[in-house]
Amino acid sequence: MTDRRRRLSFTCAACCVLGAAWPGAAWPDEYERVEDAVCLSQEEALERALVLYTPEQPVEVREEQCEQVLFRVRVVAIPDRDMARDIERRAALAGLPTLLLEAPGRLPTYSVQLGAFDDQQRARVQVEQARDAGIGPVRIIRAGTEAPGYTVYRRIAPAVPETESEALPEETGETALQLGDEPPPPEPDIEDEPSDFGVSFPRLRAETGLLHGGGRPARQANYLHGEYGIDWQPPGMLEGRVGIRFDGYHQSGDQTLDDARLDYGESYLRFRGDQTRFTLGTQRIIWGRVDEIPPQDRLSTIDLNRFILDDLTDRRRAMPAARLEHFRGAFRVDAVVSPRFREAKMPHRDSIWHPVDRRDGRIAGLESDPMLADLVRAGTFEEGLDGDPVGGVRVTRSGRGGDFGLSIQRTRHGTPYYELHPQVREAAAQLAAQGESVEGAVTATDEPTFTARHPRTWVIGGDFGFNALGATWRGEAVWLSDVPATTRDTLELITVEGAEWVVGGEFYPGDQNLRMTVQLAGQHLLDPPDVLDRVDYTSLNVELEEVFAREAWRVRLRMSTGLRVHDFYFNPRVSYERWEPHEIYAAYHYFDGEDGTLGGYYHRNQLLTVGWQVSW
Amino acid sequence: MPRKLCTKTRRVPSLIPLLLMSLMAFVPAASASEGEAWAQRVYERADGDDVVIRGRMILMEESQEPRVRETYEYRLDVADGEVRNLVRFTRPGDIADTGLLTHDHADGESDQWLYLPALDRVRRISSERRGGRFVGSDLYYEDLEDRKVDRERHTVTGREDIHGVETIVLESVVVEGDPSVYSRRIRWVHPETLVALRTDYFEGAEEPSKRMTVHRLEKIQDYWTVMDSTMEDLESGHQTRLVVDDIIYDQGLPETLFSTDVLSDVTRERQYRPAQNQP
Repeated sequence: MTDRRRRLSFTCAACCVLGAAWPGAAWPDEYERVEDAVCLSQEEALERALVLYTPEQPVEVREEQCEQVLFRVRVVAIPDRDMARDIERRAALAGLPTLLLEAPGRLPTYSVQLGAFDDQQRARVQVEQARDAGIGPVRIIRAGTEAPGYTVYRRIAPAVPETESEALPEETGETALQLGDEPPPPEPDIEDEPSDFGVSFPRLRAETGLLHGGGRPARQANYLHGEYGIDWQPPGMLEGRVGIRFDGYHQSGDQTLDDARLDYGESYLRFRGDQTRFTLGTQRIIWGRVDEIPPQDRLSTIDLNRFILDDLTDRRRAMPAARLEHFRGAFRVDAVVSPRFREAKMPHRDSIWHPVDRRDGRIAGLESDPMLADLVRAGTFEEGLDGDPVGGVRVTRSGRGGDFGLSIQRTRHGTPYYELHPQVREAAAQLAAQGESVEGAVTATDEPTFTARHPRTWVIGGDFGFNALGATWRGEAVWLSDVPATTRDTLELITVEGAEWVVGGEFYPGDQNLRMTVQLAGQHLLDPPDVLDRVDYTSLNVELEEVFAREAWRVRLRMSTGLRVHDFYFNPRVSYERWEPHEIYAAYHYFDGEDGTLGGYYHRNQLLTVGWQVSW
Repeated sequence: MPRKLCTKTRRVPSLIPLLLMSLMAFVPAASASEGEAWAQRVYERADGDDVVIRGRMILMEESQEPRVRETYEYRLDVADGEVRNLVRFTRPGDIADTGLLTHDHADGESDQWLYLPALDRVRRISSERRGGRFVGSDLYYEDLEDRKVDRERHTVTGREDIHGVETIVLESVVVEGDPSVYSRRIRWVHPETLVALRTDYFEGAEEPSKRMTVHRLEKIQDYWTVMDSTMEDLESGHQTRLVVDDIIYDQGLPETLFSTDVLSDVTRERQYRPAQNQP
């Protein structure tokens, strides 16, 4: 029984009780009878009351005495009992209900009732059936009686005002209501007259970093960064933007560096339709769904100038592209074509973040090898340009219950992979076979000893996101047709199939301000030969973020650790954000790991940074 | 069941007093059913089929300069308990163009997405957050929800004056099992406008932890609108003042405005914004 039905049942019972306790009591005047709910059974009355009930007009079910009209079908004036019993038997054989009645008197008479109906038409039908069975004469007798019944009453005057137009103080003409003596709020800033052009400083940043620990490559590493943009947004379907950025790097100590670079920012022309957007120019396009390391992010230009010190946004540069986005309902199709692949922005060769260590003969991500080390120290490097068209299509759906995406791309690996010149490789093999140092092999050619390669590859991937158990779950995976690797015996560059995946969740423990993201990630070479590269790599990535004092302070911790290999990154950061829109921060970056890992390669770059940044 | 014609009302045979007492115990108090009625009317208060608000959230702390978040908020009542809501931050610069899109469904579930302009990415986020302060204010995420009436049991506890205005005091206690941050609320409802002029929020204690106070109502396009209000953290003294600078009702906002592609594209919502610098 539903709550409402139970309440009405009790109300019905209470009405009965009240009627008993106060005999002759008159019902309150504010109730009126519902004309189509009169003299029903209790069950019928409750059903009807459920339908009629509203909070504004509650209902009551009242028991009343009701006149009942019946149409009885009878064979009457039967003179003797045997004849009456015979009629009863024949009616029963015909499937008719029977009731033998006696009217006592000096000369008793009998009648056989063949049913009683509240509907005269049904009574007529019963008469026809009796006659068809050869029973007669049959009569319809109308009779009236009184019996208890239940009627639904509904309150006339609602408990609360029916409509606002009746309740609102229209007559007084009030259109405002001031409460208390709170001083009025400050007036909002009045902006200049709207213009088609706008200027923005998305970021201005200055940072100083102090390295520590034995073997540090430099004593200090400073960074200066600025972005400037002019937006054009006239009425209509066109808009545009021109952006530029500046990056300055300074190192002091063993490895000194002073480097300043200008680069274009997002600079494009955009056409906007109802369900379509076409953008032509340099753009920062970051595909994927998971945090920090989305496997499907293969078209954007990676910025390696500061390795992973910065967030994903700051580790990506604009690239020239034509981008078509089409929206239909919950679906979005995103197609990108870049006429010329833009490889990763590399740091200066003397930067502590360069992936080639000429002092110790190491290349980031590769296990140490004596022959390789000699060649790295003695050889030359060229950052090769493999500019040719790349592109891809991504389809996403964002709607009730969950989001997902699929993508297919034909692109190149943005991070350089260094290929040893074939002639140098051959000469080194010969020298090694003779037991001699391979450093002399670099003279086997006038061309660069090592050339940065960005092998082409197909990338097919998918991703999902949904909420469950109070958390947001995200996952992403890709298959790559060609992942570069170096054979251990001959130091030859080859490509093999590969796969990458990330799954994780975002939580708010205790449903407070602490945000926690935990991700598992994997990178795998599929069925490779013996290579210097790590074949299987899995890691656990955690990010914690908490705000204090009404977001005046923000504390964040990033951590990444290999699961079957010692490869560790630890980055606590605290920032003061009360002085909006400025931010002052301090952070620590700790790297450690075994040979062949990025943590191991950068383990001497542990540094403490202090910085300031602002956005207008 | 035979059809009956009603003849007269007659008292039924009397019942024993004990049965009378036990039955009376189950009859809902008039103030409780009245409370449900008031709560329903407050929930259904006419507030337009859609609305666009240009507003400010002013975070105030003692001895500190106020911090201001400027926003545009769009809301659309689709039908049958389906509500769409889009909030776009315009200031300060570090959160400018950040957007929050919420789809509230009739069955009480919600979907929520956040747009991060720096990443140019839309992220699904948890819609079950209730605690935690919204952009550092004194509003919890739960305070932004479309709160269905049946999540609480409502009772009218009396009438009181608020600044010379008579109000109905409505107490709402969370039903068992509801994951609300609050254990109960007390609202002082203005019967003519159906606006709660004051709301005390309780988080399990005898004393309220937060208080929302309305300073000014205005009738705009025939809808009574809260133009100025303050949410105060009673324990710390922090306050968040919510100011409506401009508002437009019933523009006929399209449902497509509340999609993730619009969330990621600020330009597409601008045509619906109230114009600034109006004389």
